[in-house]
Amino acid sequence: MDNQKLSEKIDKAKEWFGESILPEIPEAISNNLKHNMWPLQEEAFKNFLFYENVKEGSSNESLPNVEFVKKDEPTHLMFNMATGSGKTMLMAACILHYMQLGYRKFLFITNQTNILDKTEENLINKLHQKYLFDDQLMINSERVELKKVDSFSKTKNFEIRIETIQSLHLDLQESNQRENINSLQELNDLDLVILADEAHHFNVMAKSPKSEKDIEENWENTILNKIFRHSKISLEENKNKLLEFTATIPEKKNVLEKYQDKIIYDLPLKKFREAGLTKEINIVTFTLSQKEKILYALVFNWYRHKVALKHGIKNFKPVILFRRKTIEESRSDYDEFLKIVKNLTIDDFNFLSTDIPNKIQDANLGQSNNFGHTRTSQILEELEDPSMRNELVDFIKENFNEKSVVITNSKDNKKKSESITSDLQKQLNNLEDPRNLIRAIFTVQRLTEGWDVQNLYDIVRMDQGVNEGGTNTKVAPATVQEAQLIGRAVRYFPFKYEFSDTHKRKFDQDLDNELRILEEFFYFTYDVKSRYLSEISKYLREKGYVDGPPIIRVEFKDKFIQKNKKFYNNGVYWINEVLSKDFDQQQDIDEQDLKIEYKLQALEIVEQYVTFSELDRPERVKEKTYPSTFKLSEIEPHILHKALNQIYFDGDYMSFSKFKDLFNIENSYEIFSNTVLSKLTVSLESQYQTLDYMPNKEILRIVTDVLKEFLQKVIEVEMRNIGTDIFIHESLNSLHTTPKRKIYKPSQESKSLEAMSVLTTIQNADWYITSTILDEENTTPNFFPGTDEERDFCLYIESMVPSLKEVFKNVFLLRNEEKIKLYNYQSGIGFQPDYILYLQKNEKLFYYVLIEPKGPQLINTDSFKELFLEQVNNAFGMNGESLHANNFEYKIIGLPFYVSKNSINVFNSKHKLPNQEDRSYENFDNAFRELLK
Amino acid sequence: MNLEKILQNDKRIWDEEILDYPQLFELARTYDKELLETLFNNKESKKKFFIQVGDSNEFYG
Repeated sequence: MDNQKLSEKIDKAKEWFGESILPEIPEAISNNLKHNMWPLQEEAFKNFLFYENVKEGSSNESLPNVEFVKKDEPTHLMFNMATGSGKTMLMAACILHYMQLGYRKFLFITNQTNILDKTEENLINKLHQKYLFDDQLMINSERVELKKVDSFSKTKNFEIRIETIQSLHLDLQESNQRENINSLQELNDLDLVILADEAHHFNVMAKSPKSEKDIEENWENTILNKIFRHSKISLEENKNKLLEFTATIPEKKNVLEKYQDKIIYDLPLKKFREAGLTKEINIVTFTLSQKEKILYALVFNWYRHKVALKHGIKNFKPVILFRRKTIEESRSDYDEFLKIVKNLTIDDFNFLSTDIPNKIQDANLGQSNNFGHTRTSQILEELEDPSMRNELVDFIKENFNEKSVVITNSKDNKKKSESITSDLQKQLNNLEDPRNLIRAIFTVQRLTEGWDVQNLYDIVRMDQGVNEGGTNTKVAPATVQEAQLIGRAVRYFPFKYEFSDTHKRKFDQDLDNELRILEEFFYFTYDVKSRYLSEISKYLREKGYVDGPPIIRVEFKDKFIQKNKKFYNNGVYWINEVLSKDFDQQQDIDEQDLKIEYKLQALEIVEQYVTFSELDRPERVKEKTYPSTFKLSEIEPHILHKALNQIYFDGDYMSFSKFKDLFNIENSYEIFSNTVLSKLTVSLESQYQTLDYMPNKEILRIVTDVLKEFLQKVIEVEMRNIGTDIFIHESLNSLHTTPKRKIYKPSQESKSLEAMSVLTTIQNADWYITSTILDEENTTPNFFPGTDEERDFCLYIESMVPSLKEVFKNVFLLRNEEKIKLYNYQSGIGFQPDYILYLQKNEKLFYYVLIEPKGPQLINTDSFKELFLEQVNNAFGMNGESLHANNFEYKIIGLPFYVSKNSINVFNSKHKLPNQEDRSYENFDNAFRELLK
Repeated sequence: MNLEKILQNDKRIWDEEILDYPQLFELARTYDKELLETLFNNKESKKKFFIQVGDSNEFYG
């Protein structure tokens, strides 16, 4: 237990006592923030609140009294969170929490001046796009201001000092004491909240033991022992707070031990990336000339701009960074760049159409990170139209000029290190601002820590050599710096697209979607085929920047094609035609759709004192909940409209103008009175007896969720066509012309011995006609790419193959991979049966069997699919009409859902659902065996 | 001249309350009829973005 981080101990406590031990985020805090926190930020902040509430002996009875909260010394915590995960937002929330508690003096410290500017913009500058607080701060029902000061006053004003740790340390040296600067004595008289950013730099003592004189004189000692834990009062009486924030705690034993009991939240980049909150990194190596490198990056920039415009992504302005080892080279690149752009013609891009594919190579990173070739092909396709090349040249000339291309080194700087004006620093900290003109940056190493940018999409390494200085076991420091720069670029650029989460990647399951490039970052580097590339890849992999879940590709087996040429060339698959129809809200929205059930998560209360060494799992007591029902039209209009505004009420997909046409209304007020929404009823289960007792914030949350669900359904219904009983055919060999590629997240179960044995069976079987391959390696995956139900179904077919082969000339099982879509007759809802079994009865006749393995828990929800399969079977099955294609006759047979024996038994023993008595393994088995007759 | 005010009714170029600059430039680049009409119909923007050549006005935004 002692080796656990504080955050792990809190996780353990959550596991034992239930999530409800964590406090809700008070409205007083969320209302004072301009934006909502992301779920991971909320998680971090709740850990913090939990710790502080336990420490301060909160009156909340549901809080367990855990021993890891240190009550007899001042709070010292560390937020260890990945770059871009929003540490400053958490800092703002922590400030608000302490303001509520009466703290009035905040000391922000860091090690770099550029971070000071950024922090000031986040916490002080109300006019800045990245200001984090609400315009008007309300603390304990009073309007207040948080003012930046150089020295804390003796007033009760809320004040913040924003300093580098070095300048603070120097200010406190006796020899530097001066008027208007707080003395140590004065700081010790205050209850201070110290916020330390990029705190991994504050570990001089822990890094290497020093002499007493060194310790006395270093700034870590100043912060820790002179300001935070000063000797003026006892530790029990000391009310100071020290919150540290960093993405990278140095991996040194001493430092790790120092922070073990302080890490209140640990969010490694890997977790952050897996949550879909970053761009995906791609490294492309090339053997291009300096000019071609520049143009190649510019083409990527233009293509992103083009895709964003096409899809209505607002204010999308991708930025490129050109990186160099020396200031002189960077300056020369910058001048050269402007010259190239000035004289640019379409002929300059000829290198793209000739042998570019031979000159670029995707670095061997993770499978989600090798898209240089794919995107280049997409771009080349776009440029096939000659007019596009003119447009490209116009775009570059308009957008990359002396105003929009900057260098992080002022012309008049004579120093050896880079230096820029504070105005440029401010612009660089605000690249996402629509009015910000910067499109390209030339730099050496000015932009590393504390640079906060979301729309940096490409970095071009202009050097051609190797970074020196590493050893066989240690990465060269310059390479580490480059990897850290790449780290700055993984921040996701949030954009709205349909109903997906603005802040999350949207195309992990659709990697060939042209919009995917808006969530990909590219690092271009010369192909040195050296230690450099393998080092940077290794570093990125170790730090969790790359190597996501594998991508699988599904295609026809070569063996199948070779041995069954006639069937492969003449066989077909069947889809039914669809008819478009006008949307009629009264007819097309079912009564059932107008009733929405909503369960507000109930609190769980536990009461027990524990130490983890003598713990018994406590009883959980669920707070009582009450059912209630209300119509949306009964909710106060201002809440309804706030909810509408929160659910993407602009853009093309779901705009007011869309609903205006759809519901035939004049203004948004009518949407709740003159449309089907007026009939929308919510059956609510919550801890509130009636809505009267419920806080508006909760009502807003419910209404927003309900509206979102319902309007999404309306749009789906509106876009839906009606399936007809006219079946048309497509050539089987066209099905996998473009193999299906998708990211597949294998479960533990899919890697079991049993699952692997089924995979081997189907990969080798002549009756299973597609193969699943890891896209990059071209090898068989080490997991079964499907659900447990699908795995059992494959085993079932394997067991039936001998009997099938006695009756049928050929047996072919096709995994559909969501390519063949059928449309329900009544509702028009589309669905893709998972498997199609081709059974060739004789030279002329095929049974075309549609099969859908289904987990028992989904049988009722998906019953419409089973009904449709039955209807198809009645119309085109054994006793129905025959279909003909390429001299073959087809009988389309729809079978009941396949449910495995095991899962239906387990399910039936635990649940009792309506109509469940009729459901058994035999439903499918009996129908299947009919085929053998 | 307050360009944002002149363009305030063209919903295509607004992202809530923020002007969508890339979209605006794209419309200008493609000589979008609606945009050009808006600019032409305002005295100040006409003066800034159009030049009279004989009987016709040429957009040079």
